[in-house]
Amino acid sequence: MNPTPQGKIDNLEDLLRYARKFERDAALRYSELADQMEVFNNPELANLFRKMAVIEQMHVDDVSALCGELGVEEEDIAKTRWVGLEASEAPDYSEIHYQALPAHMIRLAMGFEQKNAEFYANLAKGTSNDKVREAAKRLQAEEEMHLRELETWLKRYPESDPDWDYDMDPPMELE
Amino acid sequence: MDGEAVKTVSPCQSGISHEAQDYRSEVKPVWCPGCGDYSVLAALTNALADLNLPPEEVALVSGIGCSSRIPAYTNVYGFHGVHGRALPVATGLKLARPDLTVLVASGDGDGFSIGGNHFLHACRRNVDMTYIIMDNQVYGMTKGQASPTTDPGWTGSDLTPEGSGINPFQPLVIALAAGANFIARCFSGEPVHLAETIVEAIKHPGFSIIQVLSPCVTFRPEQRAWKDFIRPVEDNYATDMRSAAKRLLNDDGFTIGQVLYKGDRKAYRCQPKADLTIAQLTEEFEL
Amino acid sequence: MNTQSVSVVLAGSGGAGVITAGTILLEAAGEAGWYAYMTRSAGAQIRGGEATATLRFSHSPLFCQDDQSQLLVGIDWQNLGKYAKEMALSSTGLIVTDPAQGAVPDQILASGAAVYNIAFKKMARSVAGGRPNMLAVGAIAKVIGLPVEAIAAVLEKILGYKGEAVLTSSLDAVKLGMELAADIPSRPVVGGVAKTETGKRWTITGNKGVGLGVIRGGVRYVAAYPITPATEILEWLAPALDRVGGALVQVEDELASINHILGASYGGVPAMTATSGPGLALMTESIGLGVAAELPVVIVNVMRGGPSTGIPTKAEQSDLNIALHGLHGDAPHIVLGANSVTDCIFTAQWSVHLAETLQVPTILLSDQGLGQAQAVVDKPREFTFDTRRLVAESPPMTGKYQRYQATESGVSEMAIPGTTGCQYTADGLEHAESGLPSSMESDHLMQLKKRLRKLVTYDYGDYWADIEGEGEVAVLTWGSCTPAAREALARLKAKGQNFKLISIGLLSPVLPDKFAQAMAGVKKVLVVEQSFSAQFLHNLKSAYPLPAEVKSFARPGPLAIKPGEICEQLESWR
Repeated sequence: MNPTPQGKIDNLEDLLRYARKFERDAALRYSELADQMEVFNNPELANLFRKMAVIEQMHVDDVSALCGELGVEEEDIAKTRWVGLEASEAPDYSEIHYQALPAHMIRLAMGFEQKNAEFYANLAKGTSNDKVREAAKRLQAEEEMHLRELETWLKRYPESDPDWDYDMDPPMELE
Repeated sequence: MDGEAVKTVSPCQSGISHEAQDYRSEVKPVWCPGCGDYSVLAALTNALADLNLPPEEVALVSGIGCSSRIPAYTNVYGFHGVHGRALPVATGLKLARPDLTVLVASGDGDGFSIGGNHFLHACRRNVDMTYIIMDNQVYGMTKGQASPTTDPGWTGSDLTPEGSGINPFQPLVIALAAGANFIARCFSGEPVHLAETIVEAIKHPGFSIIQVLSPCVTFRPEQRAWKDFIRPVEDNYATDMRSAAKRLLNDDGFTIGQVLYKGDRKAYRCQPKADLTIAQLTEEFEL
Repeated sequence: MNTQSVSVVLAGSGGAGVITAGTILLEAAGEAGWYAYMTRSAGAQIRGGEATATLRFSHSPLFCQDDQSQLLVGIDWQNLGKYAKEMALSSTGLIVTDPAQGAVPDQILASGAAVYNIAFKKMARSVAGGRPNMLAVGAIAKVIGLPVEAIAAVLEKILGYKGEAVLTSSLDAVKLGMELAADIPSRPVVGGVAKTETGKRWTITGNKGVGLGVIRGGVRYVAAYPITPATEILEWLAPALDRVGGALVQVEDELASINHILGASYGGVPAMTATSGPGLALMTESIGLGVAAELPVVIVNVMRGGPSTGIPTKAEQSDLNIALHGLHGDAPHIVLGANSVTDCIFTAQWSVHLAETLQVPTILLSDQGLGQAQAVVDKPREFTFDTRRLVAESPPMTGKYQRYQATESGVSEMAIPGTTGCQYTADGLEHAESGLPSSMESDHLMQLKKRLRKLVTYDYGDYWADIEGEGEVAVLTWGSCTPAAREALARLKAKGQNFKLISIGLLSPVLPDKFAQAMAGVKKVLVVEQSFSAQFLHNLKSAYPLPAEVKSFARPGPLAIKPGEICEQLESWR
């Protein structure tokens, strides 16, 4: 049921489990980031992340559609709630800042998509199963498409503001 | 039960397969965006999902500080105690309820300063639990003072404007000397490795300690550079104290790896004889 | 004192710079010859959280916040609705809001105040390097009549180091804010005139005042462990002590703090530490050691909401019980309460004097409301105490040196290490006059009497309480409730109603004669305090006879008790 330790996947069901998990995790991540931005009073970024979460949820639906196409039972895929730690890469949270500009965050999101694309590329290389390789390449292509979408978004926002992280107030003590 | 080297962590009996989200509560963390603790939270929930432990059978005990806020963000049984006293609370809990999986979380200030004494004795007593320290080398919650793991030359605090001038604590060396049974160092920027280490630590009997280097972006922004010089340790873990000690003493504090030490001490537990009734107890008073 | 003042609340979040803007306004008021008082609130985030700064301005000295505010300026309203009660906007007040930053929360609109718009964010961009909070500073200045020159002088002081460009853009932003507020009705400070002579006023917080007071008192060794809201005392002391020849050391926990200072004191150096409720609770065992071994130390407790971790960033007066009774055994010691921002300086100094003179641990109770309030005040009167520890310079003519000799005053000579022929062992164990451990009932009784006698026969003079006014009805209070009580009584006096105010500074030991004298002619007493279980009331009852009619106005934190509330209590009690 679980993929082999080196992340080699040799059957379609496992591949699609991973794919579904990635998209769901992405939706969750962006949702969490939106929450963070709300708590830290940055509504512009909160909205941006909510939009991204919605888009990732749509990607989950795309994986379901792919299941149908490839003749894999979507119910089986959906039922497996845990696919192992290898697929549990969390994004690099350290680059996030409560006063970040949307441009920074879009770049961050692009980083996540890039990582996913690479994961599928490696899978495609490492597998011995033709169907899996083909499906992996398709998923990789989709991630790359997401990447290009984000690039267009990026154009809408100013890249920098020399003062972006200047906060006049000192830190508060809490406890 | 006595002398067992490997303990079995019993996963969910009801057949439910858990995923990481099952261990998260709905509370939105107040950690500063960028804080390493977010990754620790993610890794912890992933580890619990990997072990498939029922959330109601896990307890997470903490002290006071930014890192100690973590229990409220999880869906397990949490205890947010007073400053520096998470370990004795966790010890009492585990000894009274050995069936629970007990985890402890705190920061370097809480755990090594005011909690220093309890730290020594928790390692020595070797009760089966896992202690996750989020080490950011500063007291974050009180606006940035030097902690026991801060460099002597750090001048960022108004309390020690010329630096503390004293050597930092070496927590893992002390843990080894005091008797901890599983010693590891991880980095919040490597969350998969951290999750794997947490899984191993929970599975390993006795007192397990994981020092997680977890940057504070507000008071120690220079720690963002940690990801550039934290590197994995090449060799396998040590199982004898001498080699582990040698390796830890030669270590610069920035190596992460499989595990640094795995001991085979028996975990301490209370094992009452339970062979008398109360009525039989009074026999000693009878004339 | 008839305080005519204007109160302004500035609110915003996530990097808006509200606290800094408030500080600029406070200091500018000082420059302009006004008096000002500022308190603040913040959310649960270390940075980027929602924050409010409440400022009160007047031409007369101010030591507490007013019942209501007249102007509320919101740079944005994220998560700020919950502060509606604290903001206490008057129905004739004004709200200034940035229409692009969301609607004014309903709880705030409910006050009935009139709403004006200023596009802080958008207009800030029209000034190079301009910030919304600087526009807000300008708008507020215009409404209350604070001259721009005063603000310019403060900006120079605070931002000068950032260079000419930043200074200019900030000032330009302030001026723009003033222009944009042109159509907003003014809310000037009335009554009295601005003080133009320089060098006669200070700007200070209660916490810094405590630091200054202990240094003046002679403290030269401080052990520090950070805890909200006391850390600032220690942070001020760290460089200050160093400059006057003392030392501050950060220690591993509060148990270490108290023991460090017992050690320093044993060595002859006046020592202190500062903490809050949880820290004081940890220290109790060792404070008892200080009592038994007769070692002078000062422990400052900046009280916060309790019990346990409680509400760390807000004041409460609920540590009175533990300060008075938290030591095990019969362990009499001194407990003092500071009752205003400037009183923090005096009481801290007096604490050191009493500790050293009577060779006893002294607990000074302040609270977050005093500690973190910033005020422009008249230069506080400087006190001099001839503080001398009674030391043994040489052994007696005959026999051995008796460290704990049962003298008439109860204070015995203390030998400082280094003095020849007077070596002794300080001990928490009960001891004979020599200091050697003893379990004899005669020694125990003798030492218990000595340790009590020295405290109760000492002449504390008039400093033990602030007694003001005359009347059959008295307000009995302590600590940070005092300024509000003072103001309440001043308002009632202006209406021809006379009340007496007794604010007790020396909370322990009990002084029956002085209290009786203060209470002469008083038939009714209103006891005011910030404690859910009315700790002050119960301690008064157990210590002193009170008149038949006693009313308790006891409320826990986090909201401060206001002058108007005290007036209401008194007026409804005819």
